[in-house]
Amino acid sequence: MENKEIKTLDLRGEICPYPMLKTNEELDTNKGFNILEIITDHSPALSTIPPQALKRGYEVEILEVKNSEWKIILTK
Amino acid sequence: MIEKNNNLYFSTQFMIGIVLLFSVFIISYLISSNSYSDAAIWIAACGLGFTLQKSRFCFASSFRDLFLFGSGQNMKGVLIAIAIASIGFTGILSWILPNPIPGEFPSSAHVLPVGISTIIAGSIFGIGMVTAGGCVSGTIYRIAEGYVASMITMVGIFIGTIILILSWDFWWDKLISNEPKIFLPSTYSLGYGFSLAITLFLLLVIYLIITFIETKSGINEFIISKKTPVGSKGFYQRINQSFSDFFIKSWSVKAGGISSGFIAIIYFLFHSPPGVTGEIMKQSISLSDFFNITDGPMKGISSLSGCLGASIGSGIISHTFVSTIGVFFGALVSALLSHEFKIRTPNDAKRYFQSLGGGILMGFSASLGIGCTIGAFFSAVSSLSLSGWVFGLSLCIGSFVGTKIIKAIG
Repeated sequence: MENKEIKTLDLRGEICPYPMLKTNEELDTNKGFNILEIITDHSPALSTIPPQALKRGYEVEILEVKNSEWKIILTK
Repeated sequence: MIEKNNNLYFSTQFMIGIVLLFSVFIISYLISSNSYSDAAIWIAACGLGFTLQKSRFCFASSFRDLFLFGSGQNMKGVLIAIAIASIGFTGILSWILPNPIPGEFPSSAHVLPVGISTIIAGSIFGIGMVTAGGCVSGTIYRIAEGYVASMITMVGIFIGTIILILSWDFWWDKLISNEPKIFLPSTYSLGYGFSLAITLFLLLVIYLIITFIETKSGINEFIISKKTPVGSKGFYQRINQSFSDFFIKSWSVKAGGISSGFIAIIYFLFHSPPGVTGEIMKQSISLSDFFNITDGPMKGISSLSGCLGASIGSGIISHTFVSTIGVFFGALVSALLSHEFKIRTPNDAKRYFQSLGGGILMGFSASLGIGCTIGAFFSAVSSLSLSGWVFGLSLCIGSFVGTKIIKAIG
């Protein structure tokens, strides 16, 4: 639990529904991280990724990095 | 939804947004010298575009996410919009035609032919919108947000529309001309009240089914808690808060549904139910004529309502022009005020082909179905037309196939 493996997933430029699909894929297959950081410029992802992550037992935090670019931090 | 930076005002995007916001009304005033109804529809269309962008209202995801994620958040917004529009439309319909006898229906309502063509159109449209990542209205507001992929989708929509125009005689002769236009209040002598009751009951049943799907998938809505302390606020702060809630922050999908429903009623009060593909069809017809690839006007088009029927208007500033361009303009104002305009290009080359292919399918099927998710589904169901339900069910089938395709593309 103490090893804070952080993985970053850069999904800028991806359109619906790929930001959510790729995040889900990452959450479902990879067990090597405790924190998954998603960078996206697709605003609908902000309302679709969090419910999927919550369902899988992750905590969600959203930061607005700059205009139209967000970082979604999912913590196990 | 997300707290915005405070230095947002005075930015270039925001300033342009404010200027364009005022131009909405100036343009409306200019149009009003020619036609009051077009001037009103221009404002309604801008309001619709604004609503779609603010609430990220998306027909494609409303169908797709049910299959892909077991999420019904967007579909619930769509159902709310249809419920509100149906109630308003019923009032307007009964006012135009108080005693509908079988075979009669108000000509401006979106009562479209229903049959095999509706099923083919809906299914292909469903595949197209899921593949492209947005339906026609979604594509319009995404272009306003700066999505390059959506611009490619729009090119595809034009190509698809022209393909359908070229093969129109086949579809008209074999299918559309033989298909009945079924208006629930008159065709089955159900009357307005009972037709509306059936419509609302079905919407409620679907709402319950979606809630059941969500329960099974174990999905929950994610609400971002507000971290701003509650304290006494000054007058300026309160005004600022109201302005920000309405013009800058994103809206919930349900708020978007309520707004879309009422805007649809305004559309019908001034002209006819909303549609966004009319201008695309009109310009595609002009393009085909220009290149001389058609053999005369399209058969039977004047007997159709919906977006295709509306496309025969003349002049540049027409009903279809304000309907389509207004949605774009309103979405642009919304995106700029929220500082969400950004040129976004896909990194993966296959997304361009996907956007183009999805667009071609949508252009083709939107003309075959005499409208898109708005004209042939939302406005048709609300017009108490059977075609809307059949189109919606077909969208469902197409979207399901679409989810398989996008998963395969990866």
